[in-house]
Amino acid sequence: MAIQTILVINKSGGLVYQRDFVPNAPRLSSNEYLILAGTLQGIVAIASQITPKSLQLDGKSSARGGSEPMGNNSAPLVPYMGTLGATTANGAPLGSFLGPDYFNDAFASWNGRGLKHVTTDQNSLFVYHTLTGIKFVAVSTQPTTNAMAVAVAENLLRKTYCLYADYVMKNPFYEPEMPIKCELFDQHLGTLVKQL
Amino acid sequence: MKQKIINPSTSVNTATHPGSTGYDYTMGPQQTLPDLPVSSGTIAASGTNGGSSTAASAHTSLPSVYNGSLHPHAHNQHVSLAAFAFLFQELISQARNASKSVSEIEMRLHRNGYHIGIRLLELLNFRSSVSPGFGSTSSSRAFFSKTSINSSSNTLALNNALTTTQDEPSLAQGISHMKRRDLKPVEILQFIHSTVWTYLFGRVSDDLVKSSERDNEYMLVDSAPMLSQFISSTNVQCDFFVCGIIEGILDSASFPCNVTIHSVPEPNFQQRAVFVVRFEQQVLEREALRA
Amino acid sequence: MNSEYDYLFKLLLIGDSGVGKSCLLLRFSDDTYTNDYISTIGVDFKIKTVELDGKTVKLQIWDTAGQERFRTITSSYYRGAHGIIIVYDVTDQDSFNDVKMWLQEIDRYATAGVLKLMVGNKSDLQDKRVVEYDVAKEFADSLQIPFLETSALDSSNVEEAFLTMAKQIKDSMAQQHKDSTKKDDKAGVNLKGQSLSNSSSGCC
Repeated sequence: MAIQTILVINKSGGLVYQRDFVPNAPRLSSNEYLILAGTLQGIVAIASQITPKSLQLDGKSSARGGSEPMGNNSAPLVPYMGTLGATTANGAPLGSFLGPDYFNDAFASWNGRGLKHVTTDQNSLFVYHTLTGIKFVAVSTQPTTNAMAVAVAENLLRKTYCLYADYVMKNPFYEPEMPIKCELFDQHLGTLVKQL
Repeated sequence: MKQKIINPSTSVNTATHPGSTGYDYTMGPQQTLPDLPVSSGTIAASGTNGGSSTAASAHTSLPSVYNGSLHPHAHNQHVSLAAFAFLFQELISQARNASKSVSEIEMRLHRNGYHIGIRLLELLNFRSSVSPGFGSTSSSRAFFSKTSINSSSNTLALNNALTTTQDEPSLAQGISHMKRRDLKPVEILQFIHSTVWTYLFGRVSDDLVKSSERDNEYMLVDSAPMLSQFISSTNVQCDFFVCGIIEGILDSASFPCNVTIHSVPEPNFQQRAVFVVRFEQQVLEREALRA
Repeated sequence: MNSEYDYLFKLLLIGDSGVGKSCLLLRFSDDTYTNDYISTIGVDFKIKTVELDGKTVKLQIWDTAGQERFRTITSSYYRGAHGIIIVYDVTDQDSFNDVKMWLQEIDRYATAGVLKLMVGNKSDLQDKRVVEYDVAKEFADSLQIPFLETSALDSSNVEEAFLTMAKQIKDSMAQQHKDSTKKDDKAGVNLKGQSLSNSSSGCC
């Protein structure tokens, strides 16, 4: 499974970042991607509305952090993915996060409510929905329903979120909610996906 | 348990600081925030001994950022990189909103840094003068470290050091070890290369180079500039801020010069930056006369 | 590589059904998308690309058709909108009366200070007109909302209104871009030299 596209959708459903990683894959026009992002925004909103309340409560308890005792109600843990995307080629860490990887341990999923994963005949689509409403979306080249693949994708998107926090939010020349044009974000995301 | 209420910042609590002489310039201002319980041991002690001794023990065992010493080794002094990145971001935004052109933005950042440089020279020279060189002995560290004083009376460190016996260095000894003023361009540049860079960025700069073309030019190389590491390269060179710091230090140390930055990417270091220091002719003339 | 546009503005089109919101948009947007496959989830998109001060701006217009069925997710459509256009039909008094209700919706769900525009549609049907221009104008002025009338025959002032709105949004963006001119960085600078530092990491 390879990553075909990564999208970043802002709080209001606007597509602020889109990048293809497969050179010869069929491309959509920028307008079509905008429509896709807006549609996804609606679907995510509907999905979180129709998610049963009990599941939503689970999601909320995980969002509050790891202080709760691990019981039946605890959020699903996303397994630690080894050195996936840990460092750049010359050994420098990606971003400002210390340690060999951003997350050394399995982490409680913060991606608790709503739409996470869509599978079609040709692709799978993974959504990482942040607490603030930003959506990180990855499209894979092959369909998969493998739980492992979902975990890998969630790990990847969470790291993408880290890069976003570092290289987009800390860039004084970026205007919030507007299309992302940050070279360093591009570079590091490229490295991250390449190492998958 | 009993907690101390916040003291007004002007009052010195004589119960917690007996013999205190007020503000001490090597210590910085005294802590006026409520003491936090540090361990269960302290809390247990408070139950038996009563309020004032609790406060005193909390003072000795919990140095806060508010009563940090000016001495560099007193305790680890760290600034959150993220917090600083956001502050720097706002600095740039302000410069940007107030400017009409790229060079004006850079000029403003440069000016901001310049004022820091002037002040920084005094601070770092002060530190160098009280503790010659880095990696000073633990006893000279104690000279300025309030936390290492093991006295229950909690006298201020300086008073303590003045009255103690031979194994503590006296102020007179300290003066004889004072750092001398940097007189040569190379000396002051090495001061920037090592001391200033370590103070600012936690490491020495990657290289200090003398130009092979021009006598008055020196270059400081930083492979991964700390301040602009999150900022995608734009037409604005945000590291002009650091140029300003360098120029401020050199100017107020009587080495008038002009500092610019040039980004020279290398394969492993995309953001590698070279700070070019160009001294004015009078510096070279003075140098020739000295020799 | 990605995003050939510099700005993305979200405009929202609201109003009673049948007032001609979609018609209005069709007149305005050039690179239009009118397929109704999206209206199943309560929203249709139109995208208009404009140039403002040398920057490419995409106006993504969210046309909330048939959204009564999707009331529960309405807030997610209002969220983050830069501008909201309220449309009524000059031949339909009810649609004009409902404008008040739509304004309440905006107050409830949209960001405070969002730009608003009121549009009276179908102004070419003079013989069926029931909402007079002066009445609507007075109402809009009392709320300090820009107002205009339009029809399918005459879309010029609609285009103007949209562009004015886009310009206002762009001007309200905190930062102005003054750094578009590239300087010649290394002109006349020679960076060759000999290392003076005794640190092991010297690389020149």
